[in-house]
Amino acid sequence: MLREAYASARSQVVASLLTVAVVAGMCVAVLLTSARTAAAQQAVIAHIDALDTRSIVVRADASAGISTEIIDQLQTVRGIAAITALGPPTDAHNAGIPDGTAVPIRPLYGAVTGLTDPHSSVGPGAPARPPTAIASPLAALNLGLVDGQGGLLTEDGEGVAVTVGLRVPAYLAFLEPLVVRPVTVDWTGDTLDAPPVTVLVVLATSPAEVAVVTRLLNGLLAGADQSKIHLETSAQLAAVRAVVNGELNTYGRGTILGILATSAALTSINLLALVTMRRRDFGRRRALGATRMLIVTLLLTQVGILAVTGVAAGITISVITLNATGNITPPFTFIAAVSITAIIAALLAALPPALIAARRDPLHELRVP
Amino acid sequence: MTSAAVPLLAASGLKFSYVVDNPIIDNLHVEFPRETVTALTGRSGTGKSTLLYILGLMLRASSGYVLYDGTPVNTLSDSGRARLRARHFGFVFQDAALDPTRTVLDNIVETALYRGQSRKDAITQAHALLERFDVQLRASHKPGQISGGQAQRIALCRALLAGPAVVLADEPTGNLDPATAQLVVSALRSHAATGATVIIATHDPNLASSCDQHVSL
Repeated sequence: MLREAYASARSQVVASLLTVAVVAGMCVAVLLTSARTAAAQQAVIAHIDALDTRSIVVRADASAGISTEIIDQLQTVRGIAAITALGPPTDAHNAGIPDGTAVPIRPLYGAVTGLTDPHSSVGPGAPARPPTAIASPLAALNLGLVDGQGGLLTEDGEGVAVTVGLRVPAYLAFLEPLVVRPVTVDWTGDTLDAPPVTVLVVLATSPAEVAVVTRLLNGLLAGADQSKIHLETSAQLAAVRAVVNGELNTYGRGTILGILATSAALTSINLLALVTMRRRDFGRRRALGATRMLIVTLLLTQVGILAVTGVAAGITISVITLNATGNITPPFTFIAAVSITAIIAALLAALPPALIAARRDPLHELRVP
Repeated sequence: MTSAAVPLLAASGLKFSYVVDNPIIDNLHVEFPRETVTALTGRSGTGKSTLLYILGLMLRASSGYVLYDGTPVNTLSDSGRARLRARHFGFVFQDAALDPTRTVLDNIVETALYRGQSRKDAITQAHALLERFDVQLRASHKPGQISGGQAQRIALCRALLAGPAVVLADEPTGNLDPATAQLVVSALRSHAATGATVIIATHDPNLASSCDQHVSL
């Protein structure tokens, strides 16, 4: 059957080349369109994500009643990627520059999850043991710390050693210029002794988790003085992100479906023309003993061979084009899905012409007028 | 059921009409025994080819039966009739009906696919038949590159491949010179001698008179 289908395909050069070209064109159009759509989608989403769609920020007075206890409570919650808890700020300036710019120093409570964890967020030049305070590059610039380290003098007159190397993630950028003093809380459960938290930043694992985490956080904060707490979420931004992402996905799917449908229609028209032109051939086959099922199988096998050839050509052309133009190459699973879908679309498109061919009346086609 | 007394192919009470109330074949009873060459004769339009196609299970009679080895076969399903055609019937059409896009050899072995015969075996048999009909040098040619007489001999090779029990031939010598026509007739006669039945629709009185049996329509 495979040999006969292959031989039939070879004997009908124009129709075969047209089918291969349509299927190849289908793959090229889908892959190039989807790659461009995916790239545009990634860029748009990246822009939205840059606006910080996953964070929940709680600002509170020191007397609001939020303590480091909340860190332990949040660490068991699913859907949270990072927790940063800071204590009340104290202004400090470079001890070597009496009139220098003051920058707030904040206690950083640990061990906390997140990029500001003193054991993970310090730069490669930082000492193995955490220093008294760590400054971000921006804070170091404001403080005039030119050597990457130095001493600070707080407004209370306390001297604090400082090193530069704190990497501040985007979701904590609003705290810049940032200088933190890592504090290991030796708290035994006595709420009265637990240090107060004045800034709590919770980063959800995804924008979709923001609403759930916010509800949970509100529950945990229920015992605190609500008049001294201000909670900001990015829920609206997350909702916008979901809508934009959904719209782009729908557009991408619609485009791909449109291409598949158009290509399937072209394949079907091409095969209908072929079947019409070769009706005598199918009539002869029927007269010589080919069953209807065999005729259908033969035509579908023929189209299958051409579709596989077209898919191979289309993917090769697409990957070369995408690489040459610097576009994103879709993942293997997507390419495999497009290939299978293209072959199925071609086979489905071939089915009506195959059924028509199988119903050719042998006598009508063979009798000489 | 298979015995010498039962004709290999028979028509019983066969009736067929293209136009209502004007049957072209009406209550036909005829038997086609083994080892027999039968001529179907009659003027044009009397239903020779129609009867041939009804006997070949390509056309369904309005009523009556086609019996193969004593069993009614015209009532089989479409696929059942197609399989019977592929395995036990050979056809020589009026104009050879070869596929112009395939080689002569491909045309001959095409039916192997329909009867589930190995292609290798079919090719071996096809080469023997091509040699027998003196067209072995045309095996790789396309039908457009051979003469009408050669095409008819190729059609005969296709019909005789795998030794069918029934051979139906529609004007098989119509396009042939006398010598080739004689070659074809003797090949059909030889085939009938193997236990098959051969039915020829013809206008040629010489051919008809040389047949074992004569059915006039």
